[in-house]
Amino acid sequence: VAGKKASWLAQVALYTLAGAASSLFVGGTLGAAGALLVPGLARTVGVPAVLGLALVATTRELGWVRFPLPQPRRQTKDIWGKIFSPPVAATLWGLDLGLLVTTRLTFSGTWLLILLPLLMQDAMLGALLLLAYWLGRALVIWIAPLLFEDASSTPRVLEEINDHYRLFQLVHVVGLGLVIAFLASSLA
Amino acid sequence: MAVAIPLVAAVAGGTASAFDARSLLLAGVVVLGWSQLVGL
Repeated sequence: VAGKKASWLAQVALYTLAGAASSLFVGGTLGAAGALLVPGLARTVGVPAVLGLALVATTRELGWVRFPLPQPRRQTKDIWGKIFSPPVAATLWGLDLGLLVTTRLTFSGTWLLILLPLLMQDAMLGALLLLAYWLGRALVIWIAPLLFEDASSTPRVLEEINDHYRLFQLVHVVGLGLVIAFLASSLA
Repeated sequence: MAVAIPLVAAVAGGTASAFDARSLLLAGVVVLGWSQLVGL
């Protein structure tokens, strides 16, 4: 049992670290790209633009407006778990999901994570934001033993989670509210 | 658990923002990441 636990911890750590690395890379790259593409407009254009987008995202997730979310259709590859050893598969999943832009976004607020560093033209802020997003996402895996009684219950738990889609959508709105509060305060 | 953790993050971020506005942003982003639990 101790061996299994150590192996699980190693895999989750690899997953988290790999995702953190790709998130830092993408966030930093977006911020740096923004500085090159639209220099000097961070305060005057970037913040109000992202604030407007955050408000649109909020109305969408509240169900007040409906529009299809532009997003990749791709999901990460389950098959890596069969092809590669568990540590390698965990690393690949982390790297892939940490990239953010290569897999489904699910909720519209995720677009802010792409646009905020780009429009605010700050590589450090971009890297930090995507890292924070990734850590929020990876936290789910760390507490999985509390959610999943055993491996055989995984499908049931996933089904239950998806049955509560609306609840998670509202949690997403709470996150958007915090981002909006920050953006509004930075304009003041 | 699924709701409690992001709410704790939201409250912590809101409180910490009294000292540093960026912590509000980071807490919001952590909550956004957490909500992707449904996208597993």
